[in-house]
Amino acid sequence: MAGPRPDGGYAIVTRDDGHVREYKTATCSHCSKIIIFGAGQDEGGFCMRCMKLICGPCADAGRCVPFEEKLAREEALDIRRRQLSKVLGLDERGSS
Amino acid sequence: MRVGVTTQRTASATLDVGSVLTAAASPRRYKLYELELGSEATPADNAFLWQVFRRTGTATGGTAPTITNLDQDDTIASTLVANQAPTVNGAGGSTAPLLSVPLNQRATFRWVAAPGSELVTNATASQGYATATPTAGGLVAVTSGWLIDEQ
Repeated sequence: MAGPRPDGGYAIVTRDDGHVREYKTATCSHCSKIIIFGAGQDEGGFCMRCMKLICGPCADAGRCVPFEEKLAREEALDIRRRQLSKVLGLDERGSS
Repeated sequence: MRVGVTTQRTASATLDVGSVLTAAASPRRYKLYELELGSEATPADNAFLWQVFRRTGTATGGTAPTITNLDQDDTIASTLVANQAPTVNGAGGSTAPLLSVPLNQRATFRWVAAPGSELVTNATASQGYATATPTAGGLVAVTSGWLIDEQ
């Protein structure tokens, strides 16, 4: 069975003798780690829940928390923290 | 808006080459979609390990490289905060690299993300990424070039 497929990203290594080697890459959907295919690194797995490529450690973790969800959660927490700071008169970063 | 930044330093095994963070006030998300790593020093066979780390705080010391708008007609200034050659790294640690590339000093490395697979930051204060050379076979000038889409 075929392993995980690259998502269209690529990496190019250029040596000083002009030799160029191109690798396909993918970004882990859970942690954003960049997976380089064909470079002898762990090529990760596939999350059957979000149906996206994930890196080896995220595949081993066995949980699906998409990175986008983590970002949104952190932003929501930050907004709440800033609102609370403003209410308490502790806002250190102005009205951003 | 799309911007470009070049960060440089004399290689260090412990200190970041450079970092790009969201602003401390009114932060906006950014997407790192292209990264170039290499050395502009006289060619020599030195082993480097290049890594990219997440950063959650500003670095101390160093200098602020210019952030250039890729579209000259873009009149809005970038809110990003770039740093190069810090004396103390920003918070975030060095245990979970997002990219790890062993590279000879003579070689250059270029990574281009597929649309939708960029390295993204959240829109909170001082969040971003840093490039580093935890293995630096030669203490020579190294450079990382960043292309970023600020949201």
